[in-house]
Amino acid sequence: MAAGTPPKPLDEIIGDLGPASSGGASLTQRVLVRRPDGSEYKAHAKFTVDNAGAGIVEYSPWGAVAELVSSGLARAIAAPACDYVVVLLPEGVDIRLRGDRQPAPGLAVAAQTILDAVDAIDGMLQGVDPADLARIGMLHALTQVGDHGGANNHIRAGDPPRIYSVDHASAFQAEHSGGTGPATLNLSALLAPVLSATPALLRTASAELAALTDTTIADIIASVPRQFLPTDEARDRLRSALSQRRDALPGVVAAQFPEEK
Amino acid sequence: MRDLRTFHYAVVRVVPDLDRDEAVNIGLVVLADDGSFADARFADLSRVRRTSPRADLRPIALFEDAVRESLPVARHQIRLERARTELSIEQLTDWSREFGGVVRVTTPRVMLGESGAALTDRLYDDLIAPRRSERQHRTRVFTRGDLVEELDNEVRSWNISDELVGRGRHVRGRRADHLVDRTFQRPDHSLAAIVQAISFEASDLADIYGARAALIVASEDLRDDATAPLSAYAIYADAPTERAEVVRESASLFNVKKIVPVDHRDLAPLRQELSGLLIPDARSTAGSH
Repeated sequence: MAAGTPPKPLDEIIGDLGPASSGGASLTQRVLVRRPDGSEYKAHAKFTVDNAGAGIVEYSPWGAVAELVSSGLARAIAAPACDYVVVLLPEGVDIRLRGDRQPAPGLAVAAQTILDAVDAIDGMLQGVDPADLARIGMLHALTQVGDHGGANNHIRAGDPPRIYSVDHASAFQAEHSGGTGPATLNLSALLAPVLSATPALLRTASAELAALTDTTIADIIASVPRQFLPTDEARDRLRSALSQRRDALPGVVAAQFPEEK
Repeated sequence: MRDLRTFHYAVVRVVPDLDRDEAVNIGLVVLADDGSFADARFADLSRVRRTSPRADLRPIALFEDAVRESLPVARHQIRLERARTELSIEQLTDWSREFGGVVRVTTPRVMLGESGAALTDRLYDDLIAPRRSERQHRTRVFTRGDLVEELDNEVRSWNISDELVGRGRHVRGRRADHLVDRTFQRPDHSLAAIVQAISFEASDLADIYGARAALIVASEDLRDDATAPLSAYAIYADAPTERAEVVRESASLFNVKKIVPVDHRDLAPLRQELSGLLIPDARSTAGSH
């Protein structure tokens, strides 16, 4: 943020709509959120600590970092995914998570709820644009998200239908642990059959990663609050890892899916 | 001899409006523990429209098709073309934990049965079929006391003499006295049957083992001493799928010890069998009440 620029007001959580599902690891909660302009929307929120000081989101607060960075990357490469932003849980708004835990007031992350979504399993890709799937494959390769190997964590919604990648709290584990992760293509079981059969889509999507500039990556990392990611060293590590993967992935895809001559 | 096997089942539900959080049961998936049977049955999706007129049924129908396509076998039949991703009990459990959209899957539960097809029919009728749509899938745990109470309510409708039914009565075997939940005597006062309730979802495993042991020991000892055939029944409530091992072990023991398990939700077969024992000429009219 440039010096002297006033901080952008955050969307605020104003109501509790109950737990999002039967109990994911992140204790995702459905909430009502109000924008600074007064408009409201329903969202899925993840909180970092409860009012007893215990972590809530997976790998707290890293899970929140992973969601914010993954959402920023998805926006940049046009991959359909849940779109997390930083929100504020004000004092006095009572949120009851599963297990009757209460998140502490302060910063949280929330993504506008994707309406009428059905969890996508193998066999539910009819009518979906396969180019979307290739971009999701690139998102997973950039983030090295850990639990999208099965068909879970994809939802299908909309008309025309789209597949969205959701729940990236387990992403960037190598960077979380102080290293720099590899650039590998880890296609989920849902995506792999389609994309393996149409490798040109993957090659195109990997070439489009060039649009993910160093500036864009820096802006994405900068959008993560210091409260979640306090050290410059960790920020640099994420920036560096993302740049390296962006540069390496076209080669990885070409090696794995060479063009037919 | 009966060939009891263990089956896991999960109910597929639709929550058309996340805010209202009302669920409509639309389907049932049944998988045999040994992989020999799999079935998925779904109701007409119009019931979803009754709850939410603007609900988009297409992705729900797609989900149904995808589940059917992923069954490892088609009922008992081996599929000509194997599914690319075969549905498993673990996957059902995973779905029950992870799904948060319009389609949900309940935590799998485990049951005993001889026929996967018959079990599917009964569960579908009980949990999914339209005429029972007003029923909610139960959420509370059934205790042994609940099961015995259900049996007593059922027995009251059998129109048999109350003195033939023993409640919490000690009965003498060859080697010991036995306390079983219910006993049934013939008109000549010889012991015809004993019934013990077993809730496989009891919070303490010792409650399952205790009730099961009491029934097995009593049936063996009483049969040793009996001058006429003695039937033994275990009325049971099904269990969460993590109890599969104890259910599987019980099935094996019941097979060997000639104990008949009876699902508490369907006591009609018990009535048929017992009425034949207690009232010699009743078998031909047992079904006409």
